[in-house]
Amino acid sequence: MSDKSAVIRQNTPNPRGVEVAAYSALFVSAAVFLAGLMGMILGGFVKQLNAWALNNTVSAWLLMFVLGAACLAISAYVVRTNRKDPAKLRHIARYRYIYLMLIPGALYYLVFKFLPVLNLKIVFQVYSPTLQQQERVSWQAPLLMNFTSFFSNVWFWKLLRNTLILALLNITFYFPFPIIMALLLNEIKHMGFKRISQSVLYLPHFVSWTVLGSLMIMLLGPEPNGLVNSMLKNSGSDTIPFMMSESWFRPLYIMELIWKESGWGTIIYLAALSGVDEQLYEAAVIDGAGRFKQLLHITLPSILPTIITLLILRMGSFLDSGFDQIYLMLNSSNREVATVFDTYVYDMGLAGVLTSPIGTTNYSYSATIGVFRSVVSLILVMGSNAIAKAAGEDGVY
Amino acid sequence: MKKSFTLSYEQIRQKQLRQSRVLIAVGIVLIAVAVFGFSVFASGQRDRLYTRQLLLSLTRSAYTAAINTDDGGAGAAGEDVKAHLLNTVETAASKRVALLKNKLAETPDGADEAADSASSVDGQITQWNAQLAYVTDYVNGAMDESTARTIQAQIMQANSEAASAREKYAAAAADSRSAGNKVTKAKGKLSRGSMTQEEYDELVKAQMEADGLKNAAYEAQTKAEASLKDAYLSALKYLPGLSSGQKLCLKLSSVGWWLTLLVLGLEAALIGILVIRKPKYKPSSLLMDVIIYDFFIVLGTAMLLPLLYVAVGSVSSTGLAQLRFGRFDISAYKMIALSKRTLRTLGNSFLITIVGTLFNISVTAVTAYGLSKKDLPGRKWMMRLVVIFMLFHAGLIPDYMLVANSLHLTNTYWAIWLPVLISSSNLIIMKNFFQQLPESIEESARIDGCNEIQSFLHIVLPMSMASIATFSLFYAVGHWNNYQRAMIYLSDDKKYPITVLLRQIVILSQGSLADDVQPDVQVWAPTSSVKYATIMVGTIPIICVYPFLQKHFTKGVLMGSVKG
Repeated sequence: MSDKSAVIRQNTPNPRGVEVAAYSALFVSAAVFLAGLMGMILGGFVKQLNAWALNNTVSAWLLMFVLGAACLAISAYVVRTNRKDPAKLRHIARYRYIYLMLIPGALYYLVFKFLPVLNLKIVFQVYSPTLQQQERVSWQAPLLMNFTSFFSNVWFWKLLRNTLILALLNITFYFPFPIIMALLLNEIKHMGFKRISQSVLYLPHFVSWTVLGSLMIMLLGPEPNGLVNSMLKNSGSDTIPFMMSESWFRPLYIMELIWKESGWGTIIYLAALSGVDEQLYEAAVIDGAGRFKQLLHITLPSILPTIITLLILRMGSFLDSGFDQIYLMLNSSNREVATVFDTYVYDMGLAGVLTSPIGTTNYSYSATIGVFRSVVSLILVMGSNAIAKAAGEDGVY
Repeated sequence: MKKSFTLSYEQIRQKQLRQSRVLIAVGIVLIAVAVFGFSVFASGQRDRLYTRQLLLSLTRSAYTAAINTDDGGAGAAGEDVKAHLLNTVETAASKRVALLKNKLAETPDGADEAADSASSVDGQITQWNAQLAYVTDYVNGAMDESTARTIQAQIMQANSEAASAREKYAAAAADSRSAGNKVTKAKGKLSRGSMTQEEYDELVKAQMEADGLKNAAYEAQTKAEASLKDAYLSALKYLPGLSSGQKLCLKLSSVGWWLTLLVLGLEAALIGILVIRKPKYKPSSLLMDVIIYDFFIVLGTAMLLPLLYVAVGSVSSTGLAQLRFGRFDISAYKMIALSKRTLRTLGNSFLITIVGTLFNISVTAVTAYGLSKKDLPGRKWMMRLVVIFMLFHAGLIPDYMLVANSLHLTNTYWAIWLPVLISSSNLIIMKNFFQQLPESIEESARIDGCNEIQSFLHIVLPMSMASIATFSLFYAVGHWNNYQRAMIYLSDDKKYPITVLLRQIVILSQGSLADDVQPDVQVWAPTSSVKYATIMVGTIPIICVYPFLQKHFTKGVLMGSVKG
């Protein structure tokens, strides 16, 4: 033990040195922070600067402000802890290599997860790259104009209906499928058969949505290349325009999802099943429980926490119906039922396929729709998490 | 006497035997139903095949009509409804026959025109021959060359016979015409009295004879034409009928139910027999096993069939159009090997996947390792942030603005790699995995003077290759199959991955997405087998990765995935 503490002492810097370093860091970061703040305020007054800042959404000022604030907080924390509890600081310093290792990850979360959140200010603006620069920097006249015009748009109800229906179908038909499959896979005793079936069931996951979309056209497309339709025609029936009809879109969506992802989805349940105590089964056998009863009373309850966790997470992606899949199934004849929030945002915002109330490629308007979707998803996750906790289960967080 | 509530072994065995007898009975009933149903079906199947045959003959007559029609393009095989063709063509044909008859009726001048129209038939014959060549081409997939040659010879013969019949008819018609002329002149002479009634009667007789000859010649000509038509028809017999694949599908679609019943019955009976023969088996348990195995056999087949269909289609000369395999043909793959565009997109996909996965796995592993330290100050907050950002994303447009407007990464692969550098859920699972590793090893390493970076590289990494392999696979699949980011951030055709190419050649060339076709995309019309082959080429590489990582796979996911 003495060896260990000696190493720790040796590796930690002395408090005075820390204080000097921390104070200088404090001042430098305060200067950076203030410069960033001033730049942003000045930029707010000078039209030219503001335009530039909007054009380059992460302006140098903003970056200085954010980084300065972060460094300010850290150095202030260091100074304070150094005064009050140097041992804690030493504890932190012990992990300096770990913090070093966390820098790339932290930068990723800062740049690619946090900064886009700042970009969300455009939902209160009129921002479209096709507009003139002066027009596109202006704030919306009533600040929530984008929201109100979206809620009063005919597409709002269509999108909500389409997305909700797909999400409900997803939960009722797709979600239980991997669970059933995992439970049954778990019952297979012949290891060779189990391994082969697992491999076969995982296989579709490796097929991309693009390939699956193409496959669907090959199988269900029009005659003479579509397999099903040529079979129908050969047996004298009428052909069915699967890919071009509104009524077939939803069943196809669910079938594609089950085909592609249900096998892969068993993995997590199988992992949970492998952790079930064998003694429970032995006890059940002694009590005279058959295999079905074991399944019902031991296996199922032991993976219930996993099921609930995944259900909550699924609620989070409730409105997230899979961009790739739907976008590749979308065509002019099923647009009415197949357009969901994700594809609508893309079509409206980036592709310019659809026209918003103020013209094509309207960033603000489509970002507004995206925000609406994200917020609803977040509420759904938090709500279901709260319900799960109230019911006595572990939540996700 | 005390009554026992637990069953003795004998009693249990008796119960099982009873159950197995029931199973055998059920099995026998199922088998009986299956056999009965099959025999009923078999008689129905004959009707069905007969109907199918009728349909085929209708199609054939439509093709015949197409060959005989006056508008040449109608011979094009397949496309539109044959009944329509049949209609137009039959009316056209009957019209022509009626025309000929009418013209013959108005002797003698009609005979002239009849000869003309007979010669015009020659022109049509060349047209028919061209159509026949087309049909022969079409049939080639289903007919070997010698048969084709025989049929062609038949048609040629019928053709020449018809031609000679036409010549004879023309000659007879000329005779009849000259006879008619003589009669007309004789009529004048007779009226002027320079000819005797006997002479005139002789001439009329000669004319009538010539007419009779002409009529006979006409009949011969019609006969020859009919036999020519028959020759064409016999050629049309070789038009592809039901292919073996179609026959199989047709049979399976109806036999399938009875076959299923039969298999189920056999299974039930087998279970019963097994239980009676060997006491170690329990009926309920065996029954459950059989049901589960059946379930996975059916499910596995359903999962594999579409992929198999594409694999078979890619080496078929017809691309499995109309369920016809044609012959084994790898020209589609040759075409891909020669297509620079396909090779380039494939190379791009490899680049994106390999480099992207390396970035992903290194950053994720390092971050997960850092977060796995249980008493790291601030760890709780960091985890909370990770979860928040996992649940809330700003959305497509803010992400796009960041990547395109702020970082100026569009049209570079950084835009593909960086925004998905860490997947929060993978990070959490990997963190849990690192937490489960025994701490004592690292502890001793630290006492030996290793810092955390060293101990991560030399101790933790080698111990967690299973996890690394698993998440590499996850990330690699994501990169290989990614379509959305490539479509949004890349604009240079030279940088597209294979998914974008696939979408362009398979989905857009269907013409169903006219509003999405980009003008700068060269739309070429690949054959079905090329499409299939492209799908194979776009899927096989990532499937090939799986077996290499499979042995680590279960272990890697099993540890740490349970608790989110």
